[in-house]
Amino acid sequence: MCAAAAAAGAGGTRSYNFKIVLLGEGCVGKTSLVLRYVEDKFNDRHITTLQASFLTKRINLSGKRVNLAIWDTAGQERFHALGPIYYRESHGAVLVYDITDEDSFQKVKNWVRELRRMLGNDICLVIAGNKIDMEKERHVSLEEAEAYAQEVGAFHFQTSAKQNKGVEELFIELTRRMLDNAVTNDQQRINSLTRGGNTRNLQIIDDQANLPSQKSSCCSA
Amino acid sequence: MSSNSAWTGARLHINESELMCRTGCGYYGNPAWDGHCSKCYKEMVQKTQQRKTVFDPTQKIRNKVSRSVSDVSELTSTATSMMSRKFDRFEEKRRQQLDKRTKAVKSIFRKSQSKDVNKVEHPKPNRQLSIESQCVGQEFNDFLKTLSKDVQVRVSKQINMFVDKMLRCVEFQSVDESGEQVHDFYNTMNEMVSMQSAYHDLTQEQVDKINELTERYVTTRLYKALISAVNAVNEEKDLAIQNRIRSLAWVSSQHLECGVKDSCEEVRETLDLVITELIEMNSRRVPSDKLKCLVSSSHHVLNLLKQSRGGSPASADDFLPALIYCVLQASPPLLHSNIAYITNFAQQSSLQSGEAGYFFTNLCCAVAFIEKMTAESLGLTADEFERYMSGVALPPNALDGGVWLCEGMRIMQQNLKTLDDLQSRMDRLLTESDALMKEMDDVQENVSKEVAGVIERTPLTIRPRKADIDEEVPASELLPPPLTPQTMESGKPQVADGNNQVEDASLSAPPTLEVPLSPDILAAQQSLSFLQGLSALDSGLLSSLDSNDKGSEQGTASIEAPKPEENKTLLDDSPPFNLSSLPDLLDSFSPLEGDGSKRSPVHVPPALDSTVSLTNPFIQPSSSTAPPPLPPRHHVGQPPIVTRASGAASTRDTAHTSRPPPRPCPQSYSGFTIQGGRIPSIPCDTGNMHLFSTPPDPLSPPLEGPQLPLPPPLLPTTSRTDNRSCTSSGDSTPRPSEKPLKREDTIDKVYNVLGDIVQTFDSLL
Repeated sequence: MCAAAAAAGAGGTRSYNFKIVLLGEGCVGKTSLVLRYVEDKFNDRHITTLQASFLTKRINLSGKRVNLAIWDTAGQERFHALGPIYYRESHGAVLVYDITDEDSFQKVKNWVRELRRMLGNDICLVIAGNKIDMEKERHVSLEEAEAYAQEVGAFHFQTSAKQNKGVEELFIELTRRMLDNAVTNDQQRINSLTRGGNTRNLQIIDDQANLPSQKSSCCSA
Repeated sequence: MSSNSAWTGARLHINESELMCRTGCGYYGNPAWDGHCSKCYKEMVQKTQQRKTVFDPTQKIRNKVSRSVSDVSELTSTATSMMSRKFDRFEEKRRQQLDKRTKAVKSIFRKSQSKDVNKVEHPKPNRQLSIESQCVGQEFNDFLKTLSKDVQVRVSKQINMFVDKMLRCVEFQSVDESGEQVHDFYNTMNEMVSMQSAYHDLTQEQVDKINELTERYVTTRLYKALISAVNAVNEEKDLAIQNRIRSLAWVSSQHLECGVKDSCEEVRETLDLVITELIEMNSRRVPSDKLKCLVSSSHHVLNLLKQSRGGSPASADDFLPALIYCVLQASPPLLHSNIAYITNFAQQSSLQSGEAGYFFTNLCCAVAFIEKMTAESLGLTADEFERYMSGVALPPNALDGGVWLCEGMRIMQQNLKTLDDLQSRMDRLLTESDALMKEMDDVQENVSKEVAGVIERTPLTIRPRKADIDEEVPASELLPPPLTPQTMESGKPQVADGNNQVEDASLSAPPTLEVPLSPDILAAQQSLSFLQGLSALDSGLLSSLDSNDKGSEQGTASIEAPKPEENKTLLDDSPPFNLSSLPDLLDSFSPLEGDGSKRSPVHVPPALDSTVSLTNPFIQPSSSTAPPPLPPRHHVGQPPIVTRASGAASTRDTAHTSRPPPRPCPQSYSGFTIQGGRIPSIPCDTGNMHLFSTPPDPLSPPLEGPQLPLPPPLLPTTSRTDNRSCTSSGDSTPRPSEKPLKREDTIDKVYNVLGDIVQTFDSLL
């Protein structure tokens, strides 16, 4: 999973690249959420980006430079089967549901199950209950959602893209988690890499030793 | 003999002679031996073989050898001497082996070459390099030259080594294995460049550039081997997806709910761009180039969505269906091969993050969706889906809304539309050009008419005038009597004078164009100033008189009437014709109009006015010059027939006379009067047109003294044109004249007359 992050992160000074997928039913506000975070705009004509499907954000967290690549996914039911193509190799996932829509929460549960099955604990999950500005029409209780999040080892945030509540916090927390994950992974990787890498290098040097000697003799002759 | 017996069985059909040996040795022949008997055939074969071994084989071998020698000699110029030696030896060998099979020669030749001329083989791969790889190699070299020598050598060594190795083994391993090797190589390169101390001074950009160029160089060099391996593996899948896409050609944007309005021309054009880029992807060699095509095509898809829906940026919910639709429309060739090629040989970092990675993932999703598309995913029933897929039925709306199953139809439709558009534009152009022609004709006509009119007028006005003026003076001298009515009271005449003067001013103004008349301008200016003074006087006088209000009103009105025209003349030069003409008309043609039925009542008084006006100058001695010129003019006015005109003229004259420059005024007057007498009909012809514009002006406008001095240029000619306009001014003249007779009565009368005139105006308008 951490191939990109490890390659970039191993250098120490170089920045981390994280891939985050947005999952959730259609119309729960995935796009609004990410637009609010990246552009700090909501339903605005001044949104500069042509698209909200792939967005990047650079942040500085505890002295580390982090590039977030946020991948939006098509939420329609008929594209559900394509999920694995989207979320493979991703470091984090934001699972969005609409607090006024019970079904969307069920959908989130499905996603969590699937992600845990496919990616194990490598992926950091954050569950976002969106549209808290419509508290009156709430159908998913906060307690239920938090309990569930705890159960599956995910964070739970209540957000409102419209009122810009909880969005920043959500992404910061997710990034912090991914960073922790990446750093521990890096340690392991570097440990293993130093050995594995050496052997690999040696192999190649062996090749080099064989071929170049021939070549050089050819050239000189 | 058994064969013979067999032959006997066939004897029934074949002559004995045909069965005998061809050579005629007496034995039977056999078709297998060319009709010879066994003995004769053996001899014959021996003979021919002998011949062959003697002549043919040598020639053949020589040819072959010489050819291969020339080939070899081409290979290296440096090794020619060695080669020739080698070939000498080789020739000896050849001779020794001549008796052996000729084929052996070649194999020996090859062996000897590979053994002896090692160098010859080496340059071969270089010769085979395609133009593309040469370019990429050049690019890489250029970039490496910017780096330190050490890095340069190491990097190029690594890469060349890897490429050579891959070239050798790529054919014998699976695509996955090659992909793994390539990825490993990318990783080692990356690690080497970013980790090892030798490369410490490289910037991040340089590292990225090295990585990119590595990918570029490796994949270009290995392209043929790699792509053929990939194609071979994915051939079936490619075909399958192609067929699948073809059978899904009926899928419209409505089915996918992607909101692409492909009936719109603009959207259609963008869709074409998307399709071009998607297809272009296949023609690129380097994975990153393919990805670039994909990214730009995806951007076009996003554009497409923007055009179709407008508003907020497209989310994945919109983008993926749109991309699927575009892929269906484009049906890119070798889709699976390309995807496999990219996944196997692109830099992982670019695939896993970044825009390219995202769009590539979406493309994979689109392909996966297309492959697994079911009735459910399109919101159709299984039956419908089946029927559409098998081509039995077409979905409704398939043929309208621009979703053309056949590209040709679409293009035709588009062309028809374009043609329609062209046609309508052509029509418009024609009609407009017609209109323009017409307009030009009209303009020409108008201009010629106007010019004709002007020509008609000018000779009459100018030439006669000069002559008239001369003549008039004597003539006027002969006519003093009109002055007699001068007995009028002093108060009124002033008003009349004012009016007259105004007219005079206007009259005097026009002639400015003509050099001789120029003094009139001065006169006009003076008359104006005088007029202003008079108007003040008038109001005062009138107020003092019984009919304060009326008198003053009339005075002002009368004064006003001419002024507006003058103003106009001042303002606009060309159209003003009419306006400017008005004052002139008044003067010169008031008599004419007087002749006309309308005028008759009004005109009677003018004579009186004239007298009044005459009195004025006397009353106001300030203008010393006034008296002398007066008599002649009065004379002119004297004849009873002309009385009105002359009266009016005289009044004006007097007004002028009251002002310092007496001369010019009389001239103009005389001219007018004469003209009026001589050419009564002319004004009517030309003036009709102008009437409409003029009458409203005189009635309403405010007093604008200062502008008066500016003379309208065309007055003399125009004066005739507007007869009616004269009426307005004429009105002014008569009124004052009446007043002196019986103030109140006359004022009433004047009112009546004015009313009549206004009515006639209205009716005329």
